[in-house]
Amino acid sequence: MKSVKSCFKKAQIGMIEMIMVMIVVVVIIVIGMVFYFKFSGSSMEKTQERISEDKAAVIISSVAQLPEIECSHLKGRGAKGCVDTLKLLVLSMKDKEGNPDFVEHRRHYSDLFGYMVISVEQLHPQTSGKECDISIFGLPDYPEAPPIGCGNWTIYNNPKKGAGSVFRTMPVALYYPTNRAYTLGQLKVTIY
Amino acid sequence: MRKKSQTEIMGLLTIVVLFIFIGLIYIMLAGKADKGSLTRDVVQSEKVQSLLSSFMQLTPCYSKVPYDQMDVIIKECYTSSGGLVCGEPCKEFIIAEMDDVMKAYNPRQEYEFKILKGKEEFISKGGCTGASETKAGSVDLRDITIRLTYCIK
Amino acid sequence: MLKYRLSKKADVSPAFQYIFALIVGAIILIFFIKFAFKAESTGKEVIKAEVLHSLDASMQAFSVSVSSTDLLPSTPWPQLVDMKFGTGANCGKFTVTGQKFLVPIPRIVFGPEQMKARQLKAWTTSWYFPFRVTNIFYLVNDRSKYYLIFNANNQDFVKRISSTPPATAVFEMDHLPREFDVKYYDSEADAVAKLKINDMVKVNYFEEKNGVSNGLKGSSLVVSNYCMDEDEPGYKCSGTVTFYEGNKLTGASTFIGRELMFAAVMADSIGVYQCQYGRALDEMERMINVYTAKAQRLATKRQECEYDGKYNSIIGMLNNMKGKIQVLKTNPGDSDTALQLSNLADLINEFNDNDLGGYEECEVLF
Repeated sequence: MKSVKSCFKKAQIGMIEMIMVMIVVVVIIVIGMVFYFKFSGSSMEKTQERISEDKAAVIISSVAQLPEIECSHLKGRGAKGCVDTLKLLVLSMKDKEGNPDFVEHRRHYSDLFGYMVISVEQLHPQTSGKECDISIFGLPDYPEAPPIGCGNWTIYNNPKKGAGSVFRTMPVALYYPTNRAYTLGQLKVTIY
Repeated sequence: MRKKSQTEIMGLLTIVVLFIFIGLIYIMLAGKADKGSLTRDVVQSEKVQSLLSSFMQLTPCYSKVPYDQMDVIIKECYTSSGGLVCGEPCKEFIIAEMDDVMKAYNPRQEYEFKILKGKEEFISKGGCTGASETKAGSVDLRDITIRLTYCIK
Repeated sequence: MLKYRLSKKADVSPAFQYIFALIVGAIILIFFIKFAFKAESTGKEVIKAEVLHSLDASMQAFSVSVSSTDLLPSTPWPQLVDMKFGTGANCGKFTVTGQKFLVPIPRIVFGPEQMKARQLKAWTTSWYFPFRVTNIFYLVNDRSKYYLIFNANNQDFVKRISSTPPATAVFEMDHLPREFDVKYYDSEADAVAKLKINDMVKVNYFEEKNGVSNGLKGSSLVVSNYCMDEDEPGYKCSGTVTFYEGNKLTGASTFIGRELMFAAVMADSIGVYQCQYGRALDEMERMINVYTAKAQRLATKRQECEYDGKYNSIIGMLNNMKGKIQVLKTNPGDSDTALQLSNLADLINEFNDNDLGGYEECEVLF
């Protein structure tokens, strides 16, 4: 009787041991996979963040030197960091202005920039902050000397709804060709 | 039987040690230095330089036509050792203009602005004492150097 | 007896335990091996997709330079990439062999149509005509070789634009970068020899030719005298280019500006050249629109200047230029229009500098 009982217990212990070993092995594998995916996920997130930062830095530098907005009267390297406000005005013309040439511009820029908003703002001397429009060019509300009036030009507006974004600014000199004045502004880029 | 249970305990201990080891490696890797900070450093340096370059191009005084740019105002102020700009002594005018520019661009940013010939300070405003890190930009106008330094932390 | 039988029944035989362990172990091993292979192939697909996007990002970073050379991307791709630049309907797009999708590259790029590389040599320069239009990119890999073939009449010029201009050159002329290793020879012999070890070998003549040796790609450029004169600005240089594959003529076109002369040298086929030339002309048209609109605004504000109709004059010249560009887009081989465009660019530049820039009451357009 005693030996039958002990055999029975031995078998039970043997079975339980095997089940426990299998459970532990499975738990180790699952924990290992969780760690692996969590780590690679967070590493990818960090890489993504770093790429966005790098991309933002590159984009803002390249936008500031676009021939479409740079101060071309300052030849070569002198044009770096200077933006021609008359060119800004031209580029910010809306389709309602009826200029068919600039509809083609927008198609080209959407290939170049993708989902982005690019604008320029005058910081000093201070302005009313209103949007500069071709319709007020030539009126007192358009900045001249001393530059007052409107102070914002949106040259590219293609945001992506519901997506995260990176916002960057860069100080630039704003040139007014009509009276050869320079003021301080900033180039603002939102990258989606 | 004692030997068997000892073996079992050793096996369990090995697994526990393995888990602790893996956990430590994970914590080490997760806490690694942020590589993105290099780009941020470069961008910050570029911003200071851009701001200073833009400042040098400004035409702050509209009483005299054609308008003089800041680099001309600074050069004339230095060579004539004084003079007036827009009715103000030129040194004060230059300092006030830089102050206005910094207030407009980043009002909370502490900075140091200097105009030097060699080690001789012609104009000096602000300072970065106590700052653990600085970012500077400079422009050379023949024999004078204009320097703007951001104080960080 | 009963005890023995029961004990045998209760215990699992060691042999079966080993078999069980082997089976389980094998299943786990197979699972992880499959996982590793899947991760590797996914990684390869990710790399291919990354290549498509990283090249444009690298060019964007590079494009802030007025003129410079670099290796793109800065960190070589982990494996050899077989890439192709689109022509015809796929003009302006780029793909990696094995990938189904094409990525638009919104930049003007000249080079071999197909390249295998882990890293590309790149050169960028601003194209002025006469105002800055855009940056032009030239890309090449280690397995493509370019040669400039000179004759007695043009050897001085050819040597000066090669990757190794003679140290005795008095003035500095734009030349192909040292990193591109574009050598000058008086015959095709070296180029033919290089066919064995390179994917693509192109020879460029600066005279009229009827073809090149079998296996080689070739161009025959006929350049204006202004191209050869270092004192003349780049926009005064214009000419024609004819492309060959062996002795077969594949097409002809024109170029305007010294930067596009280099483009004609670097493009390995008429398809690549025509595609990017058309896009460059589009860019020029865009800049003309910007300057025309700027001139119209300046005319309303700078009335003392506009009293003599100066801004209207330059607007007229810009419109004329735009018209000629449209002719060239329809017929890129029209050498007369190309020459007229170069002359017009010179006229506009002179007007801008002298008639506008020379007067206090006038503001230059560019």
